[in-house]
Amino acid sequence: MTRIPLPPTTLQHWSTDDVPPNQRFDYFVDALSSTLVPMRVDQVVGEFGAHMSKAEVGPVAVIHQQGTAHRSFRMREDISRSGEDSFHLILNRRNDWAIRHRGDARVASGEALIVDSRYRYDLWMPDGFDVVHLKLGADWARRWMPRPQDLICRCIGSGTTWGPALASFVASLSPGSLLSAPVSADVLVDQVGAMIALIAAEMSGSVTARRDQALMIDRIHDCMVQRCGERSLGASAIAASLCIDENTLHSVLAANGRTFTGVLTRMRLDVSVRMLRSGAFRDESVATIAERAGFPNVSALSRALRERYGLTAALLRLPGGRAASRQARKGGQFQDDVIGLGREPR
Amino acid sequence: MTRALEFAVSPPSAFQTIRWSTDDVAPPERFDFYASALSSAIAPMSVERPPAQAFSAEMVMTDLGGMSVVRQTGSAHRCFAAKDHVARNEGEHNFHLLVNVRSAWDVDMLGRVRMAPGEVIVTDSSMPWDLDIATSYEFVHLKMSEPWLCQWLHRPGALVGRRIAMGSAWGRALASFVAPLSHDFLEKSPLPVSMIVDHVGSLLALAAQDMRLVPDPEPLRRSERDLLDRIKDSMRQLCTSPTLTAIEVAAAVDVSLRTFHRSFQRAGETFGNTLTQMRCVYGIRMLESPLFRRVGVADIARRAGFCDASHFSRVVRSRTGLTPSQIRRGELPTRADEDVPEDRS
Repeated sequence: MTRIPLPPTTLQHWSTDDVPPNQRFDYFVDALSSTLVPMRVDQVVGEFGAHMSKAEVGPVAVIHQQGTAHRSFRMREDISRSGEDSFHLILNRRNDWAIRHRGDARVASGEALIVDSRYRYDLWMPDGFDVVHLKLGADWARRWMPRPQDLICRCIGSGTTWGPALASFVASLSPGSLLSAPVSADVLVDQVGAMIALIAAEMSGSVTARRDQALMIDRIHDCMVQRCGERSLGASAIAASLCIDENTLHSVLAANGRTFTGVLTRMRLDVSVRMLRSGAFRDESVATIAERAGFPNVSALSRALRERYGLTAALLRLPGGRAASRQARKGGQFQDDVIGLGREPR
Repeated sequence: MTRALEFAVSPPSAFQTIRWSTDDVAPPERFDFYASALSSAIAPMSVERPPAQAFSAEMVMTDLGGMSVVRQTGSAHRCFAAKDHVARNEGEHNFHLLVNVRSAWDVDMLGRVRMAPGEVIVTDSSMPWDLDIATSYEFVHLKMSEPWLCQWLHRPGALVGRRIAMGSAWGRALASFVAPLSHDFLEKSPLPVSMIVDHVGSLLALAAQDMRLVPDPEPLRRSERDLLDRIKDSMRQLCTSPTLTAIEVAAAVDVSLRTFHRSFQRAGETFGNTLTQMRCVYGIRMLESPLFRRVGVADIARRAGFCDASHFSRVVRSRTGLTPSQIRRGELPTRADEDVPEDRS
């Protein structure tokens, strides 16, 4: 039985307001080091204040930071002591900042920059910064950028084709919005990955002519996934869309060990799961979701869900109707309860 | 004109692609060519142009399946579909996402809207519309099928005819993602096309939330969250008692009844609903467990905290679309949708 990826269940907060003034600096350095990477921060003279919140979605943590100007760094000895292999995408929404990492960069507000934790850095954040910081698990990040070195420590923003798309996407993210978004958090996180892949391809200058070699099976998949909501979608419609013979379509699927109906049901199921877990559809009945996903009726959806996940549609949903997203933010405990229900197949 | 309408379908492409340009025809015929080409490729419409100006237009339309990516460039014109045009648009219901990346323009659909360069608007093929493009333009135009869009937006209609401002966070993200989409990009895309298409869907849903078309919950304070957590923990332990009241739970977590209810209210929930949901989860768990196979549904209902079996059945049915015995059998009849409310809006 397959398990469904869980939505983020915690939203953590740190604020220097929570501790006495004389402990604030140390408190925050600890918080930074434990949340991001072990680092050192230059002693700040005078008042120090900073706030941070974080939500984790699998291998990606979305962190929001605000506060007083400071310099943080990680030298060779810190790296050899603490290790850590992760990538960090940093974007300051409010003001320009600077970093010395694999080169020197002055980063404009609204631009993104990626840091590789295996190399030392020295970073200066000015007063009043408002930073979205994505900590990306190394394996996850490498999936999207085959050659990280092309992307590290380069300003990603205007002047590139996909830079503005990535930067404005990241600038809109916050730990809180991740939990209340109309698409589930794992979808959002994969979108960040997709944008990184686009910018990586652009910056590496190796725009592969993927389409030329695109396998017919991929084209069939791409086309079906967009049209699976059409209720009476048949193999002939897909074949016509792709300008191929219907027999060719079936034989390509068969050669990959699949059937048209099998693939279609799977796609409709994936789309249903996405809608069931989406805040945008929290007031819709399961029957409507089944219909929009292209299932002939609600029981076809229920059957598919049960076979694949051992769950009923209602259990998969964020509970509480209009309150669904609030429930999700506060911890989604029902979700936890419910995911544990997966039955063994009889 | 017959020649003009035989669109060039370029075979080496991975997608069905339609390309045409007014350069393909003699200058005097260009305008008529454009008018009929547009009507047949997109939707029935009328086109007007400013008098005594050279006219040119070009289009590349890439059909991805549920979505087509269209890039159009050309000179000033007005195009519109009145009621009778719309009536001729048989059967096909589409939504169109439009961005003019080069110049400002005006659109009238449910009211006139001035669009800045790069701003996004969504139109609906089943309604009359009027586009006034006063200078040369470059449009990115996504033609989206209704079934596809309905999988991303709860009510696509709510987005129609409204400018998605660049000032809104996700509006900007949407606009900057859509602007570079083109046939050439799609041909060489490092990502599967389905991923690109999904990205558009997701950004539309996020932009709709920005525009308050999806209710945006007010964040709870930390103390409120913690209290609600404690209340629910306590309820989870007590919910199987059929006589459980709010007073008991409030006493168990040591808050006043008023604070207790306000805590639910702030999160947009109610005590009663939460309690029913918890009992329902317990009930379903028992129904599905082999250990309870010999226990009657009425008994399970009682153990889950419901006063009677029929209430339990009603709740389970309204939340899962299945009767308790269907859940128990784990096999579903093919006509289970007969009693499920169809409240498509």
